[in-house]
Order: sequence, then C-alpha cells, then structure tokens
Amino acid sequence: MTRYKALIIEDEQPARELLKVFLREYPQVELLAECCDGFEGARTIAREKPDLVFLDIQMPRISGFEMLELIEEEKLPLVIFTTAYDQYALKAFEFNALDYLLKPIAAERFGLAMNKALQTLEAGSRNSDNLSKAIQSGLDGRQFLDRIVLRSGEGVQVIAEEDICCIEAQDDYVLISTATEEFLKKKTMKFYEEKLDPAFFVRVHRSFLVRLSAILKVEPYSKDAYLAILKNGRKISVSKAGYALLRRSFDF
Amino acid sequence: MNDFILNNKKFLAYYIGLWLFTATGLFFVLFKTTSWPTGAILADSLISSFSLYATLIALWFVVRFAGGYSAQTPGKLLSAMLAALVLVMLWVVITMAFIDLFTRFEPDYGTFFMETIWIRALTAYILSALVNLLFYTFFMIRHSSEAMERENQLRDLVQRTELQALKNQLNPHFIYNSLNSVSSLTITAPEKAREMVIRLSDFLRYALKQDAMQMTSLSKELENIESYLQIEKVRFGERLEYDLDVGQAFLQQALPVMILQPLFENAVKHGVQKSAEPVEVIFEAEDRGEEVRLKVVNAYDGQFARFRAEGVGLENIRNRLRLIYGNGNLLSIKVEGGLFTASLTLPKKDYHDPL
Repeated sequence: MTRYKALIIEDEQPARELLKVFLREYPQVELLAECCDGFEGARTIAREKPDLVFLDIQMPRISGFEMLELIEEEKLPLVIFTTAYDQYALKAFEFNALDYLLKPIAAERFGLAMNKALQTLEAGSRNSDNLSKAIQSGLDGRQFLDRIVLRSGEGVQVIAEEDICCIEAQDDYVLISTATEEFLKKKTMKFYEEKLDPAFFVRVHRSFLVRLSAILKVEPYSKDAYLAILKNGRKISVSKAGYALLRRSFDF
Repeated sequence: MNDFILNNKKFLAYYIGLWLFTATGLFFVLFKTTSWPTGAILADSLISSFSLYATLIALWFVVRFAGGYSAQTPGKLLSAMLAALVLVMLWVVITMAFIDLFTRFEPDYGTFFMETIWIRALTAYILSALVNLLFYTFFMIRHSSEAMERENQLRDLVQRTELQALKNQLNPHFIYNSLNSVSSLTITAPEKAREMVIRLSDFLRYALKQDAMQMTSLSKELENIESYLQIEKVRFGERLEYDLDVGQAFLQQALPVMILQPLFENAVKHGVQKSAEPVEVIFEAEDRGEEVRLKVVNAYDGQFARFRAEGVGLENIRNRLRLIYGNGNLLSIKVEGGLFTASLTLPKKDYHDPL
C-alpha cells in the first residue's frame, strides 16, 4: 500500500530510469512524476506536495539548489540530492539534505538513503524546518552569488548579480531593485550582505545594501545622516557608519 | 667573500699543492744545475713560487668578470691569456724586489736572477695555463651540478604539466555521469549498455594517449569526438544535436591530440546541459591560406547560461598550444548573439596517422 509520494527531478533520461527501477522495490512509495528541469520541478512540488524528492543539482536553466529557493517553506519535501559532483556534498548537508547520492548510484547506497527517508517520514517529520534554514540559494560552490532566482507570478525571474542596484529591508522580505524593476524576496539582509561580493556591495544602512557603482552621489541629510542618490533615481539613507564604509570604498 | 671557488676548500688544497709542487720543482732544478748556496736557492724557490700563485689568483677575477667559462668564446680565451701575460709581468717586477734578499746569501745571485728572468717568465706563463685549467675544472664541476639540477626541475615540471593536462582533459564528472547511464542501461537496454561501454573505452583509450605533444589528424580527432558526443547523447537525448561534417580537404590537417575535445565538452556543459531546448553543436573548418581555422559553435540560453570566457579547460588548451606552437593565442573565444564560438587557428599541415 502506498503511503508516501515521491518525485524525481533529473534532466538525464537514463538517470531517471535508474531511480525508477530502484524505487520499484518500495511499494509504499508512489512515484508521482518525473521532471526534466527545475522549473517543472518547482511547479510540480507546489502542486503535488510530494513527501520525498530526488533532486539533481546540475540541470538546465536553474540548479537544484536554486529550485529549492522557489518553494514555499511549508511545502518543502525531504530532499535526496543525486549528482556526480562530490564538491556539493558539504553544501548539501549544510542545507540539511536528507542524503546525498553520488553517481553512479549503487543500489545498496540507494537502499540506505531510502531507509533514512522512510524512518524520517514515519516519525512524521518533513524536515522542512531544517531544510528551509539551510537553503541558501544557488551558490553552486562559488563564494559569492552571481544571480538571484525568484518566483514571479507563474514564472521564474532571474536577476543577474551585475543588474542589482540596491537591496532594501522590508519586514520579512527584501526589496531587490535593478535599474528598472523591483522584486520582493523572502530573505534577510544579512544573507545578502554575506553572499554578495563586498567588493561591489556595501551595507550603508541597517535597511540598505547598495551596489557601489549604482551610486550617483552622496549628500549630507542631517547631523550623522546622509542621503545616497542612485542612478535609478532612488534615494536611500546612509548611516554614519555606512558613510565611513563608503569613504573607505571610494577612497575619499 | 661569497665566491664559490675561493671559498672551496678542495680548490684551495689543490692550489696550495700546485704552489708547493712548483717550489719543490724549482728548488731541485736549481740545486742540480747550479752551485749556488742552498739558502739562496730555497729562498728563491719559495718566494718566487709563492708570489707567482698569489698574483695568479687575480686571473680568476678576470675570468669571473668575463662571465665564467660557460660562454667561452675565442675572444674571451684571448683576453684570459693576455691577462695571464700581464700578471706574469707583474710577478716578474714583484720578484725583482726580492733580489736584495737573495744577494744576502750570495752577492752574485742578483746577476744570475736577471740572466734567467726570461726563462722564469716563460715557465710562469706556462704555469698560468695550469692555474687557468684548475679554475676551469672547478667552475665546470660546479656548473654541471647546477645544470643537472635545473634539468631535473624542468623534467619534473613537464611531467607535472602532462599529468595536469591529462587530468584537465578528462572531466571525471563526464565519466561518472556516463557510468550512471551505463548502470541504468544495463537494466533497461543491455545491448545499448554494451555499446556504450565500448564507446567509452574507445574514448578513454584515445584520451589517455599520454604524450601532451602527440599529434594526430583531424579525421582521427573527429572520430573520437563523435564517440564522445554519442556517449553524451545517451545522457541528453534529443537535447543534443551535432554536425561534424567538414570538407574532405581538411581531414588530414595535423593537430595535437585531444585539443578539440575540450571545446566540445564546453559546448555540452554550458550549451546543452544548461538549456532545456535542443542545442546543436556545429563544427566548421575554414581555409585561410597558410592557416586553417577550426570552429566549434553552439547556441546557449542567454537568460540562464552564464558563460565564463575562461575556464580551466580553455587555459589548458592555451598551455598546450604554447608548448607545441609557441603561441597560446591560437585559441579565441567569442560570445555573441546567443552563439558561443571557440576558434582554433593552426598552421596548415598534413598529418598521416601511422597504420
């Protein structure tokens, strides 16, 4: 009898076949669907709410890590990563992935991962707390982000790092602005302060992280406060400490 | 003083030995052929020989100043001989200052000294050649050990570079992913699995040709690239299309083994893998008179694939081109209008693979 729903997100057909063959040994797990890329995967997870996902990392358009970012926290399933790249293992576990299977995948190793998954599912935990805390965007082993992926309506929006002008704190969200557009994303300022290259981005205020090259000018506003005028027309506050950082960055 | 010859104890031992040998020789010659008092002969032998070798040390500075012996040219040899001549003349003047000392033993010794001054100078000049030879020997011993060390270092570097080249040429993830496909095919389509194992072996055999300088013909290289692309096609299915057709005229073109393969791998990794739509990888050859230009072109998804113009694979190709053709700029990369183009420009030359 089937009790759990699984999903395979993997762009290579033979790799999908192999996982399917392995999964046949587990009648209590029903394979809901197979997805060939992260977009389809994110949509299917939102729609079908699977319990367990086998997720490839290197996929067309967006990576497995980036895909997880598109999913609402309460819908996050248990995730078992499948990849030929062992350098992501550390990161995957940092993300509290349930397990990490290296290709070529051995049947025994798959069995171990499944035991772990079934135990976790039977204990009633979806592990989503851990996973959500852990998903830290599409770093793919790089030190700094080179793009931000976010949901926009039914689709997905990709913002290249070089297009970001400024990031502003808005309660639980941040407002990411480019030269022409603005996007909301559920993340913290601290996260982007750490994950964007400090050679290009400076935290000028508790609520603002700004790209240095996006600043048109900085003028005094009041005692101990300044105002930065950006090239896209926005005006943002600069604290005394932020002003000191800017002085250092611009060397004036 | 930081001088590898004058600080060399062994050299000093030989030099002092040469001096004592000369002094003894002179003493015996004078003792046998003349009837001067022993005291005069002894003083003459010791002082003349000692002052000679003290003076000839200066010869080493002349040689060192001229850049040592390794770049020895007839001109430099001549200057060493001239320097020796000058030093011997200097020595004659110095020894003449001692005549007073000798005449204390025997009043007529001064006359004898002046009568034999030419034979003394000649002998000294011959001995200067011996001293020069001693410098030369020690210089070469030192020099060859240095050269050997350098050669070892170089050989080491070449080996490391080759190993690195090998590692770079063979992307392990490609192998792991392919083996995962094989694993899957053994269940779903065993004949295809067998076929793929053979292709993978063919590819590896070709790729592991150890010598980074090995040349081959374009037709052989393309044959191997076809194996590679067929393996990748098992993974990516219809997302990967390719066209390797070039005119018959280019098929014998000489090129380094596995120089094109990383370009195709790049196209697959960044073009095909990152795109959900089918991507065609196209190979083109172009006759440019003295040169042949080979191009690998692929479309890429501008929104999602982010090309880094320089990767380890491309750097590795440049290094090999530098080693083989003395020019790393034979590879150029162009990203334009949704197309990624890698062009390799090689001197036009045929290669015939051994049968």
